[in-house]
Amino acid sequence: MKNLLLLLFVCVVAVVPPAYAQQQTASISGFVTDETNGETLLLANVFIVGTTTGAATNNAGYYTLTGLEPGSFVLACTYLGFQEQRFEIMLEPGQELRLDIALVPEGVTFDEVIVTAAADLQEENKRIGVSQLSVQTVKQLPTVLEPDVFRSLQLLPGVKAASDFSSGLYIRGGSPDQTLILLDRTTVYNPSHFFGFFSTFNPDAIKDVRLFKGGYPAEYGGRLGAVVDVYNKDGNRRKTAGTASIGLLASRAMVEGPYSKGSWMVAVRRSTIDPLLNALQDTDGIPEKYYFFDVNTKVNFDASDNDKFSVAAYAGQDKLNVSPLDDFDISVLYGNRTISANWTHIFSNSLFSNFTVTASRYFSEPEFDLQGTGFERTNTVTDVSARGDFEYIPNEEHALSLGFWAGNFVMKLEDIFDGSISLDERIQSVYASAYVQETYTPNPLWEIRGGLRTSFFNEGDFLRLEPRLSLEHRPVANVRFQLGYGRYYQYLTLITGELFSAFDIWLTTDDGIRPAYGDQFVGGVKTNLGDGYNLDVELYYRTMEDLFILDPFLPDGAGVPYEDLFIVGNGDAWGTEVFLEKTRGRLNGFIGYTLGQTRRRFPNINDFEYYTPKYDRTHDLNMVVNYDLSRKWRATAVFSYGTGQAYTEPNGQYSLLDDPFGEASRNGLVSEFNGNRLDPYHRLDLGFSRFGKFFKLESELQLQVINVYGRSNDWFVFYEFEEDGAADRIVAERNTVPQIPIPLPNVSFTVRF
Amino acid sequence: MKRFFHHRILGLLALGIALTLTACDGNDNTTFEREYVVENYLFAGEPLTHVRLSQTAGVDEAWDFNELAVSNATVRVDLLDDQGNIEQTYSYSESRAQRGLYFPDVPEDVLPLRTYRLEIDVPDFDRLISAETLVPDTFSVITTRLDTVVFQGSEQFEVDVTRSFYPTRQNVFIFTTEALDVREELLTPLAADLYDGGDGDFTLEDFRRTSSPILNEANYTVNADGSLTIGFPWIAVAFLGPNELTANAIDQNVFNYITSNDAQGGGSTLSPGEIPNINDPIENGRGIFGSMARQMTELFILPPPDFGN
Repeated sequence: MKNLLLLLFVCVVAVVPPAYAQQQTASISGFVTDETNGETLLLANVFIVGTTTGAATNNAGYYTLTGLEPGSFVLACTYLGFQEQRFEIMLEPGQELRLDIALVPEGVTFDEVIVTAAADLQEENKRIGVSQLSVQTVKQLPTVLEPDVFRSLQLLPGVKAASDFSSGLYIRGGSPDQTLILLDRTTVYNPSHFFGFFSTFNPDAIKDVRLFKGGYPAEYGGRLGAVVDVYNKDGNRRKTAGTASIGLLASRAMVEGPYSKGSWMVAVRRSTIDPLLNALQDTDGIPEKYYFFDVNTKVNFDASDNDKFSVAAYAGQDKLNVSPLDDFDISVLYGNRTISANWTHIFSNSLFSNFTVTASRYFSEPEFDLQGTGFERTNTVTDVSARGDFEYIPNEEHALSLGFWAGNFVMKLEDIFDGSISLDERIQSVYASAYVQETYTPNPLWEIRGGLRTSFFNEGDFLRLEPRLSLEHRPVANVRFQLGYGRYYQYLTLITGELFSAFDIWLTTDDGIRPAYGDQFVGGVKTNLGDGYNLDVELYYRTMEDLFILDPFLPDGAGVPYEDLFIVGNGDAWGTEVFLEKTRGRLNGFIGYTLGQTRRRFPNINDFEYYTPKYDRTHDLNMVVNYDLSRKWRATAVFSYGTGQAYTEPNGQYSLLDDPFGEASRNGLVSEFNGNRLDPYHRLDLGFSRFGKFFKLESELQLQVINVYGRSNDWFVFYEFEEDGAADRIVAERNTVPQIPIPLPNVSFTVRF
Repeated sequence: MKRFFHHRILGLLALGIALTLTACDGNDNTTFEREYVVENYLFAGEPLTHVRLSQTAGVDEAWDFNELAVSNATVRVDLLDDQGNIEQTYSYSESRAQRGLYFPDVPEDVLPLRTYRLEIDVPDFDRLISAETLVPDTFSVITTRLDTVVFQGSEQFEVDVTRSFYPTRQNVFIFTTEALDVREELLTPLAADLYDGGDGDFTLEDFRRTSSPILNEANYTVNADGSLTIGFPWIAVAFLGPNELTANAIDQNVFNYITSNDAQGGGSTLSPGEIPNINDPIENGRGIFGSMARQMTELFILPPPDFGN
């Protein structure tokens, strides 16, 4: 590790121009925060008015403007939802000005749409393939039972849901395991509650959610497709404050506040259906126990202007005990624990660094006892890592990033059948990656970003190089043309059942199982149309090679060599995404549309021919509209439309009648694999929020209806066989399982203090 | 005015896209073609068994063997040598009592660790229906630790057997239990709950024979003398009282068939609604031509002291 750090610093020093080169210019840098609570603002824009010189804050809320000509000018800072701030600046030659900026949130204006000259200048920092989601949007959207980050992300173009019951992210044709999910820079391996119904991220605790849908930069790695980067709140640095909410399924509370050297935050959520379960205990199939909880905490220690420390932790789990039949008991326990310690150090105005030590543990421990025969499975992932990131911005033209991420990964999978261990796999692997990335801006019209990431996975001795490249051209201030390419490797695979995420299993590459890899090609145009309107169009094509999945036709892994547990295939995906957004005014929202296709090919499935996986959607349309009815009332509508899921519609059937294992008949279906489509999916959700006072506290009452017009969208089709008057006359019965088939109300009440 | 225009654009755009998509986002269709279906199992050390020949039915019609049985086919089974040449041919003749059933003319015993090839020539079908199976090695019961056990008692029923053998992979078993006394009062609690006094979806006969999922040999203990100790899981029992237990060491064809057949019913990591075709060994047809070695033993299961309380 020491050698790696040394190498990185050598690289930094090697590219730092000599001091005399900077003597005639000046620089400005600092943090951008929310004035009301001191939270850092990520991707805020800081720019010199009347010029194209500017920068965005990084993941720590820090910006750097270097290579500035000495003299006087006006510096502006903007961030969506906040009032613009301007500063008269006078810089001396060689001056390194530290300017921390605190922005004030915009007040809610109901009588007119806010359109100002400043608003025209305001723009989000939009990299190719990047989407940012405000926590307010997450909380505002109508939702089943609980507001959910992932459910909200599923509304963005290129992101699809498997069903109404799944919060899994299927991004640009990729399965959920192809998305790296980070919470405060720590990998979270199964971010779901309620067996996949919604994600573990408590919106009260979250500050920022950023989605890299594809072509993501060199600082990230380890997944073929996408990255979801979630940051918890630092905690209010001005005053002690909090929120408390009660909902139909769960209640949650968050408290945050300052102390002499920083801030803290604690957020807790727990299901509250225990009394309901107790009351229904006499009903067949009702669980004896079910609960979930999650806790998020973060403590910040501001040691100095240039050194900030924080420790963040997350714990969450789901527990279910149910006895569906006599002498049949099911116990399920699964969850995640993460902890991270972060040090942000500013070496100088032009050199920024961040170091993080993380630990993440995922555990899934389902147990079944069927008539005295027990089956227990334990899958754990323990990932301990350290990472460091450096940003060096010597002048206006160059910005250099480099970093490392190394750790120890342990995966354990143990099956116990009838008291005996039938499968015992333990893989322990050291992994490491390092990246370097240069952003070259020869003039305000062009930006070229090239990066190289190398990754190493000890188990199997895999060393891979991952080049990344992106190009941006801004012919006018409000239009960006973008191209991107990247190669990505993935050393893990997730075995997941769409029905029940509690049994999710992570497995890794090893001798005989090579890492999956893929290339991504992305192109797009992003425009600011004025009046708060943005229009983005992106095209993508991606390949997926050496995809390894657990052999679906392997009933028992006992004694099977590790590499024989898998089948290896490939796939690809392409698509066009259109995103029209209105960010301001009483009426705001967005429309996202995707035209896309994805394919897969695996041995023993569909004769090794390409097939359409279930989560493929040719057309996918989502519309979100918010309307402020008055100062106290806000309405939100979400409409979704998607091509019906691919599924298998058998056309033939037959039966075997001489089964030697006791089956009266063994019935088979003849079909083209996933050759048909269910009826198109569509659904409308409505929500109303009323803002008011509750015992002098700010309060919000949310009334929502999911699936307003009761659309019964099909989920999947299955077949049952039964005798038709004689043992050798069999009929197949087609059954359709719907998604949420009826209008579903949801109520929640929140107070803020 | 400008705002109004923008709002209308937003709404009309969404409506237009939705209508366009609905219009052109239809379903696909697949067509049904009738295919021949073969069913035959070979048991190591036991006589050749009958071959059942029929056809597939449309998924929306009944599959009726009597209606779909195929007559007048030429059926034969070849015993192949190590080079794949025919060493012996066994001819089959159609039953006079039942169309579509073909019985061996000479009930020769099946040899273990040998490859057999099934060939069927159907009139007016220009392709030969065929399949091959490699028969697992025979094995035998050495000892049974107990012949009477208490249901879910401290001692599980275990049997020591010689090890079977199958080239290229470990032995794979399916265990079956056949109750020799089928009465409701002998049902285990789990089976009784499913039976539900006759009001459920099952009849008592449905519980007479039960089978385990496919289990690898690695689940069991290999003793110092090379024998294998197999413990029968309680899950394989539906009735107390006398039961006949069978251990079946299956060939690759049966393994492939059952695992893919189970996946059709949702028993795999595939998503619900994704139904793969059955991985069968039949060329120019569907069905199974598989083999196994098996051993049976009897067991009496006593009720526990608190049974029925």
